[in-house]
Amino acid sequence: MPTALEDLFTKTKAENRAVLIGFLPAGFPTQKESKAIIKAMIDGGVDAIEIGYPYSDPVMDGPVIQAASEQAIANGVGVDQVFDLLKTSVEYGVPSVVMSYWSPIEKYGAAKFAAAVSDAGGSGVVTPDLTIEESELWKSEASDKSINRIYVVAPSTSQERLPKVSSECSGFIYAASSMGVTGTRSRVSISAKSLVDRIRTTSKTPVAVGLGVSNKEQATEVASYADGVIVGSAFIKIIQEHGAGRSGLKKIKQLAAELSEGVRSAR
Amino acid sequence: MHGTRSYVLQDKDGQTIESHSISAGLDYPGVGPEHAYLNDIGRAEYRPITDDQAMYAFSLLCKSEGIIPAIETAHALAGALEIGNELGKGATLLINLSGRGDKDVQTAAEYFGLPL
Repeated sequence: MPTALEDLFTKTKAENRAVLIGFLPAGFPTQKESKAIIKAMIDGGVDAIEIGYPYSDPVMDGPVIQAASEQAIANGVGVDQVFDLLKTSVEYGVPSVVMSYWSPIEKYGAAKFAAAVSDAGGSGVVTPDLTIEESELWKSEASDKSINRIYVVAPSTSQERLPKVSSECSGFIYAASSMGVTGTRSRVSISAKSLVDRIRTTSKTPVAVGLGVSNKEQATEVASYADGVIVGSAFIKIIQEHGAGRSGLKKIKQLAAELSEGVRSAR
Repeated sequence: MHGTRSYVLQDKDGQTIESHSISAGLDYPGVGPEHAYLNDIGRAEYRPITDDQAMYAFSLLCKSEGIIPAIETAHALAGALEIGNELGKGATLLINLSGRGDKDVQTAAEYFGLPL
């Protein structure tokens, strides 16, 4: 049976548009507020939610998400908050996934982790630092629970390696649009389009681009060639600057609405 | 952690725990995968050395040989002192003096409470 995430990509393909995915670390700035932020993202038009498991060594993330994750860890956020938020996000009515570095999954137990994601109604897990060569265990546990396995490919991923990774992905393939870490950039790297083109020669699985999109213009540009646009740092920055009170949430909803317009007007 | 699967300091959730060492080069919460492997196959033996043991060995080499070892290296010297005691008189020990300590005089002065 397809996951809710796979159904979403099928639906948006029929509508000839890209999916808008919003990212937020669990428990940022507090668990209660993170629920309100996700609600505001969805109310604004975000189609799917990616919940970050705040980790002490976030090697893929830039300063904005690092700071948010550190704050969440300092607040005592752990695995329970991650699954609680995942469940909430699913209850709000959108396909939801967890993004987690491998260490917390391994410590929790891969089988248990996959089961918890599935029990919460989650569609899958993004594993940025799990290499394909080390992924046998996760492959079997995730398949067992019928959840998607989402890996990250970058412009530096070689032509030889690309099909090995893309063929292991389900739900979507996470294309890191520029070398380096997450964070809002004034320009999304031009390498994003060529990376998406390269991925498409190896797989029919939808491709979502992350790392760099922060406004409507960029969302429109990326949505013209990708199946999904992932936005994280831009939302977090709003909370860092305006808090998660009424005005912050209003701005979150506004940005989500603008990005949503962007992905709908791209083609 | 950091793209490798090895021995790391971590809590019950798999979060990395902050490390401490007087030696900047050893102040890292993980063990290099090659060392972890050598340990697992029984090819090498690894021992913990405290800051105080390392700085005692540091001072001893400075005074007895006129050589300032790196503080990282001073840990190996401290290990050699332990092993020397275990083996007793007449044993032959080969120590790799892997780094020089002129970079560390500031840290050493602070540790020994000496003006610089």
